[in-house]
Amino acid sequence: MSVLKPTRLSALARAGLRGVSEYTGMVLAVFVVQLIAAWCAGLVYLQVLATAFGDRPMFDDGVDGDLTSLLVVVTERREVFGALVWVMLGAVAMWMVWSWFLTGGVLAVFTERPRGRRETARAFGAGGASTFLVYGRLGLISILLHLPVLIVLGFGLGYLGDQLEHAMTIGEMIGPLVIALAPAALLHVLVSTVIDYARAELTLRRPTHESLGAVRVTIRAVGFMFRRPVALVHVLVYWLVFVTLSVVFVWLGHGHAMLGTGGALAVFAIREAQALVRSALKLAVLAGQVELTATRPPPPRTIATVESKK
Amino acid sequence: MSRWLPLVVCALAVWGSACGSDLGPPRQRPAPAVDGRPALRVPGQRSPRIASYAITAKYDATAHRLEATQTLTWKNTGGSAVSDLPFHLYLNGFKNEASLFMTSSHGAHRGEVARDGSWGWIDVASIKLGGAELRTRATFQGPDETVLSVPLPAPVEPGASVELTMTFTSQLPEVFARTGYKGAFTMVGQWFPKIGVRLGAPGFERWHCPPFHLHTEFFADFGTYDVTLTVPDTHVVAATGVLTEAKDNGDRTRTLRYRAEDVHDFAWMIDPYMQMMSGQADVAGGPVEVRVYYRPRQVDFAKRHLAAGIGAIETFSKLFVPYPWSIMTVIDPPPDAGGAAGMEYPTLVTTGGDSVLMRPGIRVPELVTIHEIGHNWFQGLLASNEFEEAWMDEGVNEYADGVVMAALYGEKQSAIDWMGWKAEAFRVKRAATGALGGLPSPIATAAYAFPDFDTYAAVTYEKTARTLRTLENVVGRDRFAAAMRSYAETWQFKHPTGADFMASLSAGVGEDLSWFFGPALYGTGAVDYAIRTAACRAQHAPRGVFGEGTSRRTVGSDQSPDTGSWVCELVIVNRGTTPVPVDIELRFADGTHDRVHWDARDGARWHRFEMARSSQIVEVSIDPDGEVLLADHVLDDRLRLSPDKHASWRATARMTWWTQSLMQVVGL
Repeated sequence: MSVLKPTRLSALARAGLRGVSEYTGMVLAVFVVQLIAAWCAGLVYLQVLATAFGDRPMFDDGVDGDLTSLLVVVTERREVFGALVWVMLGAVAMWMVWSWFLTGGVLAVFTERPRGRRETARAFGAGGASTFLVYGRLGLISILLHLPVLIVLGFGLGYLGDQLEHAMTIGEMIGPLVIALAPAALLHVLVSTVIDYARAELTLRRPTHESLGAVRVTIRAVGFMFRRPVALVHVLVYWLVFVTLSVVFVWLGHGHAMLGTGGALAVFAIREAQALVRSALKLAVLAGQVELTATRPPPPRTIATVESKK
Repeated sequence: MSRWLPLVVCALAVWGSACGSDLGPPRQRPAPAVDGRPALRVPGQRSPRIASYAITAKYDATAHRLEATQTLTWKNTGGSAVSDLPFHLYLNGFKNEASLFMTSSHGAHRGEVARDGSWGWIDVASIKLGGAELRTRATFQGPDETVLSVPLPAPVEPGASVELTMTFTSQLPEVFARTGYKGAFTMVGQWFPKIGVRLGAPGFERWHCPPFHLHTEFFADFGTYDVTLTVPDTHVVAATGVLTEAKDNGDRTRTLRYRAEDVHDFAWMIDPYMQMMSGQADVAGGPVEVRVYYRPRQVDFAKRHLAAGIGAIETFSKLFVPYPWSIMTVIDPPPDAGGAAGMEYPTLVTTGGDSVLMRPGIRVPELVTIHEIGHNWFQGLLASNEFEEAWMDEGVNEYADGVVMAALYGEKQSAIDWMGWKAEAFRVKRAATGALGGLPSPIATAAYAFPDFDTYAAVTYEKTARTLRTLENVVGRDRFAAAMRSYAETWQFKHPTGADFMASLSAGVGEDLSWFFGPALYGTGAVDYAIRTAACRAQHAPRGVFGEGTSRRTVGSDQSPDTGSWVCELVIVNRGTTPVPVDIELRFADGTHDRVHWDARDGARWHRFEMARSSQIVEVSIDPDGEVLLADHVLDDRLRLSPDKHASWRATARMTWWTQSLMQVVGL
């Protein structure tokens, strides 16, 4: 049995910080691509909303915080909002696929540590392209592994519905909320961490292990999780920060109307700054995962003999 | 981490269950003090007191069963002799799956479901009249056992009375529809044989005593109730009327005696864990004590119910007629007894809406309390027929609730005032419920004749409330309030019908309102305005060819240039069936506003406005003040002639951020 070098959470965080600060341009580029993808959906939203509501002043009132007007708009034009939800889901699904390429590129950069903008771009593009298909297979495995997560979530939500029906205070709500959601959340963290480490190993070991496949790295990643719980804690901390940031942002932003063009631009800038922070955090996590994966012993290599080829 | 996880989960589970219903075994409680006040604040007979009951009952808290004897004194106030007496046996609606109530409800009522095996029934063992046993001659009438008809040995002549003594056993079901038990909590309603009501012109009266149906509630004559209850001394009891006697029996039971006057029902609650808080409502003629009974973990909601209850008693009293009784009792059932929540009885109501999601400012608990207390006017005092004209109590009361909430909390935030969100009760309910035109039944439909519960609820409650609010705004709020007050003063302690209500309001406002009531109450449509045409053209003297022969001349744009003014045309249509006068606000390009009025009382389906203005119309708003609550599809009632994308941009920015956040969750 191999002995792994102990790697602490702080070391993973430092690796993340180092990766993000060293490849700031890549972080920004990935973010800009994400922004463009989101705004591609946004332009569809704009067109649909402007067509449906451009001549309906009640929509303006609803957007500006009048609850009754908002309810009227939603209940009287359900089909419009139904369509927008499908556009949103489609955009998110497209991004998931596109992320296979981007993640491959990011992991390749963190693995190869290229110098200079040109070399970084080359490593990014080559990494993303070379692992795209195998990441696609990992994506399918991820969907399969998420099925139990959804089942557990379904049970949790059923339990939560029963409990919330009778809860009187915030205090009485927190216990059931944690019991209902924590198992699914922890399972999700476990699955997503397994997939993350499978990707990292694929990128790290591909040059020397060409035959390394999606199923094999996934199985190895599951074993790794049990030997190195710090990998799970690392991702768990990321999700906690992600959720906290988002909730705090929504909380602070509630009830603040945009005042004119300047206000709208300011709100846009603040929103995107917050999204950029979350994006950078995600890349920092990937950098930490590469650091930890590098401490893993490589998988055994399969030597093809002349006889077996015959 | 892995070692601690199970412990954390267990701790949370224990915490969750500790927050539940572990209240310990019931403990003996001291006997309650008698109320020491008359049932009516101003003593004296207020109603005809046709049906009066003296009931003695013993409650078995383990079996949820009552053994009781009642003496009914029934007075024939009609013009014809009566040879039989029909009784409602409502509890038999829960007796088996063959009852009309169960077949019409499929064992479910407003989201609560009957538990299999938990049947309720009432068994009348004896009916005696002057020593003669009549039970053997009594027969069930109708499709089930919820109506028992008792033939009399001799007719009761007009002006005469009859006194019947009945012995019965009442088995309560697990509560899913108003009455029954859940755990240690028990709400006891519709538990005794209740005589029907004689209706009709003098000399031609007939009994009204239909079987118990899912959608119907209750209808009975006024009278007095003298009720003696023997219950475990560990339990708290709250009941209709006032407590006149309380004594411990020395056998772990207690006997409580209640008296209620000029009411048409008697209900009570029993529970070993309830606490009580009270306050005082200031009403003309003397104070009313408002009591709220609640389990300890519901104390925060009890405070809200008490404040709403006091406000409701005071405001309903000012708007209509003063609350005549001494006490109003509000029961806040435990959350798992939701089937008992939100029900009205004379001087006692059950409330609801207690939930962690109902933060202060989201006034659902207050609304439930106000609605149920409001029923003490609309059905308690103005005792309309809930079987045949449910809109008379549910709908009129729903309207009154909106008025009362606006008076208590301010119109703009009468329903919601939470985290910056504000909503007015009538409008937010309309927004949430949506269009009502086109529902298959008109408002004036017997409760049992609706095709389903959703239609019954939307039409009876919501459409009636919107109809009355619309009419109030048409005739003017002060005039309408005076008419409603007059209706209440005239018909309190009586059985008004829909026709009485309409006649009373017409007389009150000094105008025949049949142009409105006809389509609004008897039609299935509503109001549905839309802007058919809104356009302006440049104004100039007529152009073209004028005259003939040598005098023919052509006038072109050079000879007849635009004056700089505009001729604007506006066509408003009502795609609904109820005509309602309405204001239309026009906004012009130069920033000015103007209002025009369409008095649609003649039943016209459309109206054309033409006007000359110095500027073009840029926006049209039908009913800019939102006074026509009966209007459907209100999104179409405001139109901007040139589309504007600013709001769409703002909404897009927000939605795009959410999209981006989701992208970050599933991908890079």
